[in-house]
Amino acid sequence: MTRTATSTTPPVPLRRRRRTNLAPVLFLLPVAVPLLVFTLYPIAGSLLLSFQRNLDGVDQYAGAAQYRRLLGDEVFRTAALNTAIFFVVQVPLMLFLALGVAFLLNSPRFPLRGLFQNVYFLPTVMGLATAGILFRTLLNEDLGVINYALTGMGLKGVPWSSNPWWAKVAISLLVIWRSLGFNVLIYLTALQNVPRELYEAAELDGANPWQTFTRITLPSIRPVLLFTVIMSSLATINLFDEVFVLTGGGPANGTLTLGVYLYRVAFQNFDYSYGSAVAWVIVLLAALIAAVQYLAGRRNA
Amino acid sequence: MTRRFGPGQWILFILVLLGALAAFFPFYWMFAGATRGASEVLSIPPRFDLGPRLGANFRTLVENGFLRAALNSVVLSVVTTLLTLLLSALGGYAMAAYRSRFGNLMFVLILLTLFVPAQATIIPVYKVLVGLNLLGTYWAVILPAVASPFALFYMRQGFLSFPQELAEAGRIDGANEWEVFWHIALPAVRPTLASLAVFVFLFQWNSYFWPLIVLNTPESYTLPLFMNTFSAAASIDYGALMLGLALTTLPVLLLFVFARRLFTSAVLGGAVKG
Repeated sequence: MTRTATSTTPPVPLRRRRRTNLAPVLFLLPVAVPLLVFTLYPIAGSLLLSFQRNLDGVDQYAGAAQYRRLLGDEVFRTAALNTAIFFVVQVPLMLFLALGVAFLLNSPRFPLRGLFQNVYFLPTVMGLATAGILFRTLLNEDLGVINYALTGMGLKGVPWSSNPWWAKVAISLLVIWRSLGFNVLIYLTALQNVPRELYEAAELDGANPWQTFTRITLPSIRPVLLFTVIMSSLATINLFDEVFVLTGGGPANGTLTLGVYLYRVAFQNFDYSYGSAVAWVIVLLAALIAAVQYLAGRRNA
Repeated sequence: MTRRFGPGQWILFILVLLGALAAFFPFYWMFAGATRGASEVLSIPPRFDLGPRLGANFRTLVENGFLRAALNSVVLSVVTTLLTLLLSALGGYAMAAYRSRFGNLMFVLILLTLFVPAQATIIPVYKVLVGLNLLGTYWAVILPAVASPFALFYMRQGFLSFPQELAEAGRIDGANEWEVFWHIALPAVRPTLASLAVFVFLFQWNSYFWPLIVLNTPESYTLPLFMNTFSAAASIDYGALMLGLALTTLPVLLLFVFARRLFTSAVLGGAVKG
């Protein structure tokens, strides 16, 4: 900015055009090269890989053989089913909870709302691996503080790591603990952007709180709702870190997700082509679910 | 909505309070555990007080290579953040401020790649890194992270509101295109840069999956990898484990406490604009 004020160089309009034509290319090149090498090429590369097979160290075209392999793969079916269960149970649960908390905190009379908002947000900053290790100690079956509290209340200790279903619950607890504040923040921001006049008009018309909520609040925050539904769905379809650190996919593959299966196939068995097929099933599933949710959200608008 | 704070509201208040305690308790457990001995973290009955073993726990961590992992995490996160900011700002500015075919093509491509999950690219990226002989090096973590369609998109959006008249004024005063970018455009989007910096730093600091795949020697491990290895040892020193987790979380926690506005705008920006 100081340059604008102090410089006395006369303008050189004739040469400017040439320079501006070259500048955008030079400015874009440093980011375009890594994007090409580490994002664009790999997308095409993994699609290609998924239609190949490796024979004696040489990749050759194999048609849809890898995808056909998936159909008969029982472990893959388990992973797909587990992922579907997480998707169906966890996504609505975490979003309803977040919406409820945000709705309460949005009331101007609610005490300590700023403090609550910050405390709810805290877990979001903790890394997934860190949180996973921490939860492993909290949910320890014999010596963990959670089971101690449960037995203290006269309940039975929960087999968090030895029972496939309770292990799923443990994963969901971790996911909800980490994501609640994030979604609360998004919902609160959206709720605070709903025009006040709409609520005043509803009150004049004699609407009860439920009518106000369903006819004013929900439609006003619909785009944000749709956004969080899609984001949480994608995160759940791609579920990896939480599972990898907390349960490793066990017990008895009870928490094996598609993401963890992809890791096993590609980076433990080094079957890159088969791993790529798994990856593209995840991509297509995610795209399909996001598209359906987007269209459904738009149609009801 | 709620006009009075009646008994119904008090029940809701208590529910929200319980939720907040549940959100906070693991933090307390972690920091308190960091001061206790190996057998006093997992114990029946559990202890909630502080212990005297903070220093001893720290020595245990150091003896196991914690400082090296911390250094790795700092270097990787800082370099990734600076490089991503520089490259995305340059590219984002080029896309927002100039009309060029190359820029338009890039914009369409990054819009497409924004919707492709990481799963689709990890195997070829891994093979590329093997081919470039970068596996196990810092670059194997940094370069794929720098190639971020999201960061580029975010900076482009930031530069869209930069008034072109300012750039034009700079050119009339004899500034070349680089000087216009560096001295005029970049300072104008400082808030966008700051929230992107927080976003990228947080992402890389907490990153687990990718470092796990490409860093194959304990000397190159970042904090999350180090902590997971430490926690999988045959006999775990739980006090030291809690301290390690606490120290891994502390930098991002402080970032949150002291730059809360930046932090939430980064998350919201990542959410709403991304």
